[in-house]
Amino acid sequence: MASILSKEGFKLRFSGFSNRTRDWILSGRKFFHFEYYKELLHQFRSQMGVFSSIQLAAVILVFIFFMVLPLLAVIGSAFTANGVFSLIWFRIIFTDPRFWPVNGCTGVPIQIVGDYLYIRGVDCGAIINSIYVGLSTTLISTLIGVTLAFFMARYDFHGKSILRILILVPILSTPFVSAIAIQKIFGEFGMLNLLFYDILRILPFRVIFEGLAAVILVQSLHFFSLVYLSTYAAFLAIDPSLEEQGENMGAKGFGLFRKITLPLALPGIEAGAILTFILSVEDLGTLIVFESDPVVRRTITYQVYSLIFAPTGAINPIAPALSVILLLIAMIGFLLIRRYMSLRHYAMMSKGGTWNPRLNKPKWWQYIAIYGFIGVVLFFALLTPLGILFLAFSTEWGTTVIPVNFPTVINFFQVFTDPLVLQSIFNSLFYSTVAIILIVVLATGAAYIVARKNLPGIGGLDLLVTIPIALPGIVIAMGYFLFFVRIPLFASSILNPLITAMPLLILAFTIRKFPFTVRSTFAGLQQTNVEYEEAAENLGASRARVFAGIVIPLVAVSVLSGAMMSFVYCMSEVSVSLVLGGVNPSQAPLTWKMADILYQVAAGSHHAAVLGLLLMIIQIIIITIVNVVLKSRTESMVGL
Amino acid sequence: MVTIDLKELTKRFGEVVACDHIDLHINDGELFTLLGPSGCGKTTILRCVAGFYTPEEGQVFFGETDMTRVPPNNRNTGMVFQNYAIWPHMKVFDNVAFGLKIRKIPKDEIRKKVLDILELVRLGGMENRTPFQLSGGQQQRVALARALVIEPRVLLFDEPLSNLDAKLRVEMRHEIKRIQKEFGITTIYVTHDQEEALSISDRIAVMELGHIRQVDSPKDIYEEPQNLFVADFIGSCTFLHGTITSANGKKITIETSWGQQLHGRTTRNDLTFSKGEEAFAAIRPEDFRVREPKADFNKLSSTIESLVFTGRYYQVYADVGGTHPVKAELAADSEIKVKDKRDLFISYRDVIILKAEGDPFADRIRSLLEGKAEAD
Ligand SMILES: Nc1ncnc2c1ncn2[C@@H]1O[C@H](COP(=O)(O)OP(=O)(O)OP(=O)(O)O)[C@@H](O)[C@H]1O
Ligand SMILES: [Mg+2]
Repeated sequence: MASILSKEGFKLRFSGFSNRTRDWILSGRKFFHFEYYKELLHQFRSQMGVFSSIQLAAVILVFIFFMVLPLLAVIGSAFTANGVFSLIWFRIIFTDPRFWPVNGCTGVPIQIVGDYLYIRGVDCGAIINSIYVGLSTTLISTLIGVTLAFFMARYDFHGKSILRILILVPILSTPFVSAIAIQKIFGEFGMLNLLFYDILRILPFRVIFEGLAAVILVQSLHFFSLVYLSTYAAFLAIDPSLEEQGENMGAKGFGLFRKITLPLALPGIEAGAILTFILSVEDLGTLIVFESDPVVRRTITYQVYSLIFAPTGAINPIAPALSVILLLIAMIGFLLIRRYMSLRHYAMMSKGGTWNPRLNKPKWWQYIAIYGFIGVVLFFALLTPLGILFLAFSTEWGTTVIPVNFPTVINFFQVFTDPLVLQSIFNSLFYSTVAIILIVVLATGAAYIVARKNLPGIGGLDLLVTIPIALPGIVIAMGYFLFFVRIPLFASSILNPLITAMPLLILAFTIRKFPFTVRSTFAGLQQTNVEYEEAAENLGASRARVFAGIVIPLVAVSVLSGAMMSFVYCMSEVSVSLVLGGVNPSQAPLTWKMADILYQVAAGSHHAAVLGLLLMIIQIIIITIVNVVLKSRTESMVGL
Repeated sequence: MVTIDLKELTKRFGEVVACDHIDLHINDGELFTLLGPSGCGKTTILRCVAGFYTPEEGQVFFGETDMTRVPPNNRNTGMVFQNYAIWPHMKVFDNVAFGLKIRKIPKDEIRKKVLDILELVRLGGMENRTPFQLSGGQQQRVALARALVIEPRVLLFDEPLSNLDAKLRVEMRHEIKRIQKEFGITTIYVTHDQEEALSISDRIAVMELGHIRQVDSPKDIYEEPQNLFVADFIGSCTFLHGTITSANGKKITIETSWGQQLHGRTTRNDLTFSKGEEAFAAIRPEDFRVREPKADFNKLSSTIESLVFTGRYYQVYADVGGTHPVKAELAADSEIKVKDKRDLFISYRDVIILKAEGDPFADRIRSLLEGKAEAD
């Protein structure tokens, strides 16, 4: 009942608005009438104070200049050659076997040679490669994530509270080093082969993941936690009486799950899955770790990355066209989950979690299934942080289960005495902090306007602030080069990344990690009664005072938890950091330095792992605070 | 203080006209109630007065001043919300002091005013509590104190008591009335509870579907309903359908479909009733008698269909004229049994004759009566 009620409530609140908008849209002629603009102005004036107007203008300005226009610049150069419209770059792409399977796919996906089992995947050119990597990662992550979420949401078993925390570990984002850890652990003489082939002799082969299969493995072990979180939230939001009704009508066990529970949770699962797809396709860090394999280099994201030469801002002319294809793939995904991603959707969902979810005591065989499944998943998921620990505390890890000279802290001395590393840590902290301040100022305003004001065009604002989560970072980075380097107005300003990378890095962080805060704030507002604000206004408070004195204190917890997650993801941002960081190493952020160490230093992976560990610790602290102290919800964790 | 005038006030939400060309004059110092069923537009009017809605048409005046486009924070009204809207992040004191701080009143004066008003609403000594430590009734008082302390020109209440239990509701009712009279602030009070409206108000506007159907004192609203909607909404009248057979000044007689003559009166001096015209007789349950009055009474032969003893009276459904159930409350000392054939008496002045023609509610009553007849 409650969910239906809140849906009705939603309709009621917005029906007046949408009707009017529909009328307006139907009467296209309105744009020629002075009256229309007068009415618009009046509506605007009566709802927006000076303060909200400034916030709105700031949000729109920042997003137009640092997201929309750079993207348009990318699209513009993709479709022009020598200043005129042209499809030449696309023609080149679709006739080049590096990008498109003109000659079909090559490679043997699975091969047994002697006592070696190679799992590789095929090579179908960058475009298809990226798509099938994304799809495979999504499929695996979804199967694991949904099963896990089902067990956690519907069964009550011993050790659940600990498992619930452990399952959150894979959500930690440690670019490069998690891939390296998995590379080592799954390697020819890595921990797993040693254990299961050489020592225990359970496996008949030495199993080796190579190329795109390795990428899929690394990504799946990370992203399943994202599907898990969004599915878990969806399961918890299901009104138990709906399931009970299904039971009354005779559905039981798996039938009940398939016929009632799954369809109800489907939007949440879909959203998590599609987001996984988008993030998998735009992931750059993993590709860089495996770049020695030529097939890994044949992925769209890697190609775009390698076709930008940061130090001079030179861009291969087919890179924008490839970016457009990448953007298109991501946008199709985004449109599919648009309903779920839009802020306003929360009005319908936010009242979802008030009831006690149904928890069953598992039967003995279910116990086995649950512990077995969770055990295996956790085993693999915890391998990553374990590998990072091993790497950080050793200098050599080749052919033994545990690194030879484990544990040693020599890496820490070497890393933390390097002034450039310290500089990069400082840079990242500084950029992230400034970005978070910008995010909080702008996101609270944007969320407040979308939640509380009925103005035509609010949907557009909603779209603007939620879309960054689906925008591939590498495309944004390329857009910055195209827009701020080539347009004369900016070329001599501090926004030119060739002059200084700092402003653009901060703004890129702001845009890219904006959704975490804006969604969390919006959800908080949605759960806060409007009458608190009206009561203050009634007593004479100006709009700015209502916002600062009533709104902000009431949603402070939501803003804070969103902001902390934005901070976490700013610190571990890869794409823009790598591209812009390359211009001037002294301004480069931490993730750029990690990649740099990997290339430059002999013990690169061990040194990078130290920095990965640092990121992990920061993230664990923040996620713990967000979860335990602030009792936060999933939207700030996932950005969904 | 101030009078409030609404002129042709109209507010639409898409297709819905929430209030439709409302004209109202509210006197200085009056406690004026908007009463009506859910969705009739009471809140909409109140929020137009508070400034949270801007009407599509019409104006709101406080005294001579047109307030229609003045933003809510400049109207100096004090509003008490249905769910109190006590800010959870502030103590009781800070909640009440909020409006004074905005008015930049010196600190010690704020302190004095807040403590005084808390005393007045009987919350003395609770200023340091957080809202979570208060009961519903106490929160209600904080909301009242918060609205009163700024000495607003106008007090606005939107169903302020609907979240309280029955006993507290009656108690707070008197409290609100006492304080309102003490301050003499012009007040608009919204409720859908007719008992509350009748007991608290100086005057009441009964609303239906965005229109005002009658504005009068509680006594007149109850005794002199001007149309079918008001007669139906206030009290629970039984309606009998008929044709006018004689109309002589205020005295009117109708004949029902089964030939019963009913003598009654009209509440409308402004209308003329003519012979042969369709009309309804409205009778309140408490006006039926089993004993014959001295003079000027109608007699209805009836069969008792059902009977519930409530303590003070019997709640009876009786059938008159074969298929017409009437609802009556009969004295507890009368001896009645189900299936009894009894004569029921109603004096002439308790039968109110209302025109069917031109009354938007007539169709509703007709179908209600037909439905009842069929259901038998
Ligand atoms: N914000 C809104 N958007 C759309 N329609 C609305 C809105 N507010 C009110 N309405 C509609 O306007 C009409 C009048 O609503 P209003 O809230 O004034 O009723 P009410 O008399 O206060 O009812 P209740 O006793 O249920 O509070 C209703 O039909 C309602 O659905
Ligand atoms: Mg209302």
